[in-house]
Amino acid sequence: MIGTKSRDTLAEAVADADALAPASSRPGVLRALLGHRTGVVGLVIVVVVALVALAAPLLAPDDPTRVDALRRLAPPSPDAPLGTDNLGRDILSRLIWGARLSLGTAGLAALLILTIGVGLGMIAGFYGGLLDDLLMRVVDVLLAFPALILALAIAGVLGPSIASVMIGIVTVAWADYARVMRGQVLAARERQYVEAARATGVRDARILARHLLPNVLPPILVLASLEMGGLILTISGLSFLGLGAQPPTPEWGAMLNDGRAFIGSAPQLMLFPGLAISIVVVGFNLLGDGLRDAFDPHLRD
Amino acid sequence: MTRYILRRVAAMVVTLWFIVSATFVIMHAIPGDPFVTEARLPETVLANLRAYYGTDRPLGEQYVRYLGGLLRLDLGPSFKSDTLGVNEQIALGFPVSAQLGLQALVLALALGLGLGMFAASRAGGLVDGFTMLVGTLGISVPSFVVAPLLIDLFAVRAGWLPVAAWGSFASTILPTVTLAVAPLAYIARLTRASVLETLGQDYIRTAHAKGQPPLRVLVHHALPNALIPVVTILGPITAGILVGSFVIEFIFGIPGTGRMLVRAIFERDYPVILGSAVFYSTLLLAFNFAVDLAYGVIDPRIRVERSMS
Repeated sequence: MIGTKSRDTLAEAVADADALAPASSRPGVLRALLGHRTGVVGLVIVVVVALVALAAPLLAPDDPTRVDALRRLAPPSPDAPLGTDNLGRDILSRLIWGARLSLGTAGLAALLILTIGVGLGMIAGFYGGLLDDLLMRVVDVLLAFPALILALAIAGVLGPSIASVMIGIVTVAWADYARVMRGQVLAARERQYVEAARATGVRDARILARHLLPNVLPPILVLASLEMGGLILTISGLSFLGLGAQPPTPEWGAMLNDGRAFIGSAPQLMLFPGLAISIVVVGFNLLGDGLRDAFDPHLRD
Repeated sequence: MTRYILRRVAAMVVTLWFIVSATFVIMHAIPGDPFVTEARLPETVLANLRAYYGTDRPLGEQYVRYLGGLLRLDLGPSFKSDTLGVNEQIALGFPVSAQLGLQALVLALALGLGLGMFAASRAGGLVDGFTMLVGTLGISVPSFVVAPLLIDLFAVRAGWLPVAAWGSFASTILPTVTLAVAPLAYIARLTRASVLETLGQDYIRTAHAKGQPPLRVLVHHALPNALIPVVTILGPITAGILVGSFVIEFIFGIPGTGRMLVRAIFERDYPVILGSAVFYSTLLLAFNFAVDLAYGVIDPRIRVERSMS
């Protein structure tokens, strides 16, 4: 047993030496991101909105679902800083709770997509053979599918709710990650550090998790940040159509649909949720662009 | 080349079969009977309905029947419309969606390419900054925010354009602009990045060195190569425009296939949902195939690789 143990450490030492180049530049990535003007703006937006979402119960001045017939469609006032909607609910409170819902659902969907996509992609790329062929067939079919239509159909079949929208999206969206990841692993598999690790008897699962994953992760992180923006757009879009969040849930897309009838008389109903969605998505897109530039050594030098 | 095309077509048929089967299974995996509504029809009527649509048959038989119908290009009857089958509904809606999509694609391409090229040729300038702003906002601000804003500004307040009516060219302007925003932003970003990269190449320096006028260098030397990445995303972009129009059709009340699909989902009209999935997938596969063939025309290197393999 002692023998295997020391062999394992040796392999890791060899592998680490091989992996040193990308690993040592990792602090540089953060510095590069912080030196990237628009990337920092994106980072700040994302962090602020995430904090608002986390602290929603503390920040929201009112119950987001409390109906008050006496102050319907009220313009912004000290009582309701962003005005009230057609049922007299406080728009600011609904926006703050909506941040929790939007970031929460998009974040959970992104996590599921990444876990499934990265996991299956790595396994396919690492083992190859029949398993790889089968998985890639499925991926091809999913990529040829009009993803939004399948998501719509699944959401429709399961009945309108946020959960069915998420299931619909995750079902199709993992395929892209699986393909990217498989390509990355295929390329990395032939690298010396993997060969060294394998030669010294490191188990497959350990090679995948400890040696391959850290080296193929950067492009996935960039994709994920850009994906978050797209996810927020899709989820709120389906809620706007009435297929996602159901009333009285404070969801940005659903709020926009509620406000459609009042755009002329009470524009705050559409204006503020519209701004909220746009700002958050801009934030994730800027962060994604910044990350991409930061990870790209050509651009950094 | 013929062998390549045949192989691709065969692969497309297999993919399509997968898609049909998967959607069929999903549609029939849900519990509940689409004919049971609040209206409470008598049991005999329900039995007749099920017999008419064949939903009382075993699943396997329904599946074989559906595939048989597909071979005859028949997507079957709609659950909710007595007069219009799925084929007729698509035939009515698709020209509308296609017109909207085509107009949006032309607008997005013209403005996107123009902005992207101009921005790259004067990198760091005012137009460049504007393009980057458009490029970021365009992919971030959702169509269901843009549309009500445009309607309020141009139709309600200014009164220049009709509100939510489909027919005259004027009524297509706002939906076209809304639909074009996101692809325009993508194309502008991609064109800018691609032209910038090409302008840094040695052969561009050579062209400048031998005294070619700057505009000629841009148009004749840089553009042909810079456009390849843009062509690459034309397939997905066209598909995105076609599929992405359903929110816009919903907002503007446009009688296209997008609104048809949303209606079908609310009414649980499974044949229409299934038919839409089949129809859109076929379209998408055909587009990607066409784009792949187009590379060969644009980029001789790819043509050579393909003929050698």
